[in-house]
Amino acid sequence: MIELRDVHTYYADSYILQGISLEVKEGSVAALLGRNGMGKTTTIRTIIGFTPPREGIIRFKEKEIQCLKPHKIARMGIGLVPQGRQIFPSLSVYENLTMAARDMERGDAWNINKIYNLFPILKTRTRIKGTLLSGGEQQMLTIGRALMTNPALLLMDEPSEGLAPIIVEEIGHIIGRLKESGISILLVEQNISMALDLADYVYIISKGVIEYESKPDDLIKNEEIVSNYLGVAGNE
Amino acid sequence: MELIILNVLNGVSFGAILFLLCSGLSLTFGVMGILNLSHGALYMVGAYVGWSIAVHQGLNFWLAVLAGGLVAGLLGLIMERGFFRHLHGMINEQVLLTFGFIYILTNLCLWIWGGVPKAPYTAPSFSGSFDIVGDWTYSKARLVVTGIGIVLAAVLWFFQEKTRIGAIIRAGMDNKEMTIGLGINYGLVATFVFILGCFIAGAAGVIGASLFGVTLDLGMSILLLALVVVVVGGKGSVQGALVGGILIGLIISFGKALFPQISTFLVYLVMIVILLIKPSGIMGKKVQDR
Amino acid sequence: MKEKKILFVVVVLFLSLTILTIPFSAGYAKSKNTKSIKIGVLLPLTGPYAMWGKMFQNSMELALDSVGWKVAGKKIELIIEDEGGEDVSMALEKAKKLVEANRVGLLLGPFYGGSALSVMPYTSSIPIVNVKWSQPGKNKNEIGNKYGFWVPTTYPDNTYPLGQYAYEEKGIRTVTTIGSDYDCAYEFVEGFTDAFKSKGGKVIQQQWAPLTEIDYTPYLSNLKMADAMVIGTLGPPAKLALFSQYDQLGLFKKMPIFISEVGTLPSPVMQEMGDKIIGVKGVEKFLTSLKNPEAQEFLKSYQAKYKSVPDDKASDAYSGMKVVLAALKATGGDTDPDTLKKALLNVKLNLPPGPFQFSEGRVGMVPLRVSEVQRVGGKLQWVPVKEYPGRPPYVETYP
Repeated sequence: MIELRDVHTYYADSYILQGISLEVKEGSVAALLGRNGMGKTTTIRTIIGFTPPREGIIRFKEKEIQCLKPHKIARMGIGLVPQGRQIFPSLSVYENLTMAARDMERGDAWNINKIYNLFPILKTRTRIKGTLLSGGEQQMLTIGRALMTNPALLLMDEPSEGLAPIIVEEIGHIIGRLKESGISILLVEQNISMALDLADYVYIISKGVIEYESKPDDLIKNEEIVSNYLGVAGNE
Repeated sequence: MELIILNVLNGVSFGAILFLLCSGLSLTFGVMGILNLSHGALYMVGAYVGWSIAVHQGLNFWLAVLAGGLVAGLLGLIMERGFFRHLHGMINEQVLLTFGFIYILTNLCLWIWGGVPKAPYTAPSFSGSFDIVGDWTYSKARLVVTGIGIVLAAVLWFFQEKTRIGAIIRAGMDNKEMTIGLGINYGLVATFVFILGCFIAGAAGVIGASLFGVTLDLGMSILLLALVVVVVGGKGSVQGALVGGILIGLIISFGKALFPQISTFLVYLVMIVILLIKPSGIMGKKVQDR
Repeated sequence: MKEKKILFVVVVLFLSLTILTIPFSAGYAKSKNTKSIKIGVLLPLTGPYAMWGKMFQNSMELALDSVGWKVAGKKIELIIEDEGGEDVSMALEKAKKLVEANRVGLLLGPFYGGSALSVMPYTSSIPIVNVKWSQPGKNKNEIGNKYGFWVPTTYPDNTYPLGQYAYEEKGIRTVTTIGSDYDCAYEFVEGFTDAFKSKGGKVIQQQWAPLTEIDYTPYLSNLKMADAMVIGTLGPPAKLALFSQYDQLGLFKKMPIFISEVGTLPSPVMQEMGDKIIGVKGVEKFLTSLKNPEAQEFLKSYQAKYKSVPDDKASDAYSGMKVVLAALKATGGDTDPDTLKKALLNVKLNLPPGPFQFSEGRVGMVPLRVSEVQRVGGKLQWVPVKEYPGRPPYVETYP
């Protein structure tokens, strides 16, 4: 589905991604793990085009996208669930969901009713401003907003951030259902247990380099890697 | 009592003109992040174009409104595509460039329409007056202008609050990057809004000309009041421009009637007070820096 | 050693003294013996008043044509400089250039009141005659411009006859006034009200609007009903806005209007305003409808040469040049300021606006015409209804 080959990204003069290569296979979930400040969010931003790479190739659906503008990349079928949710405060729940909706011609495409079926709580909040929702509801809204663009690939940046454990569990269920529906997902997480439950493949990033990659089961066995690169985060 | 009614009517109709002018200015400021200082000059161009259609050619007044808007919109398109989109985030350059456009447009008008000011013009059916309370009569044109202001406010409010493109515009003002990340070609939306804003300015020029006529210094003189309205009302919202426009219109009107010596100063006093209490303006929302 | 040093100091002193005195001896006094007379002119050739600049140049050249550009056997050399528009410091620079570099014998202009104020301290400090086209305020002499002459009369004197006329001829007993909040507008209104009150009229209300005001409706809504309204606003834009707002409130039918200067309502603008302004009264020196031979000759020769119609201000430029030529003829071409001043004060001429003479305070005295907008031959025009003879400014004899 998507493939990054030796991608280098800079923020002005600081060298953030120092040659990242990773892949999300069609219909699978790949998790990108690592501590704060290691380049996880930058990877997401690089893929969507907010901070385009200075070197390297990003291939999505067999096409190179690293030179495209962000809105073109998104329209190729990439949905963004950003860090911090980034709900539009001036828009109601309904408007947050529908403003960017597209590609609804397919029979199995997402539409507002399907989103409300997936997140029944949102249906009861449809008219209020998005930022008045609780954290969990806002996360659902962010996911719903991305789904309304009917993406083939979801980029999810820490969907569990700042949520109560019971809500994290619910979000986890939903991501599982999305995966079953055939959407590919690149999941950036600090919540290791949730990530390992969902992922088909795991990458660990540290200081802008992929230090480790394997199936989740292999990572669980490798305690040295877990403690070196994920530290206490793994126990949270 | 009569005096209060008359001054309210005066204030609201002047406010309606200010609203027409500022809705576009405020929208483009909010959406593009560019404060287009030549917005007042576009108002002036619209008024001159309208004069050519309505007075010189003797055609329909509404056609003049449309033509004034179209010419201003076209100028807006040229400005945006040719200049502004290369100047994102370059505040000094934007100010100098848009200020320079005032001079260019003013001199173009001098060249085309000459230095003699044009008398106010309007549709024949709106000229003159009718009797109201007591001994007093009131201007039809002013009521028509007020009506147009209210209708446009309603249309723009509907557009911004109830349509999908309006939602996109508001989303962009909240968070431009996220809007783009959802696959929206925000540059195109911004261009559209900019042209719409310029169109409204040009049309407002023709409508305003039915009360004030048109002169070459209009581009500069009307700009100052427009900026005050945007500051008072808050940038980026139709409601802000409406509230700001009507408020400033009423202050000016009552100021002239009750305290003529300080009426000009009063407007700025109100602006300062509002800046102290609510720096983002009465209806202002915090617009993200970019 | 010591002698040498003293000698050196003396030489330096002498040299510098010579250099310092050169401009005075050459620039201001020597003109008596030159073969040509240099006249420096400041005109607005660029900026908002440019349209008048060209008209002024035309009118002056027309006056010079009539004497073959010669007076008392000497050739007249016209050196024209642009006084610019809103940047009044430009006029001062150009005045200095004309006086110090071109060594002109006398200076005409500038046109714009602001430029005149910026030039006046300079021209007051040097011995040179300066004939101006700008209209003076009533306190024109407070800067001590003793070689200054003004072709038009003062602001209040311009409107004084209008106040007399309103009371005596139209039976107006009460007025309300609207003026621009600006010095000369105050004086225009004051001229009217002084005359009006001296007859026994009452001023029941006075309103002042900012100079750039375009919305007069609030002032009009506030209007106290009187027998007439007096308008002392300045430019055509203000008048246009005020008139049409006056019309929109249906006030033309209720209160007649008196305006300060006819010239602020130019013909194309009048045509655009339409019949509603018929009956508006104003006052001016020169009108294109005057029938005296001087006015007819000026109009005919101007139209023949330049294919356009001169206005009151153009007649000022023409009159000014005629008066200067008459004075130079009397002095035999001498531009010595005291001699020329005396000659100018003695000039008596028939000019387009009528018999002309300077007052003791060096302000032009010509007849003034109270006029009325009428439709003549399909066109709206100012038609004189009563003539008031030229007289010294009443403010010169004001207690």
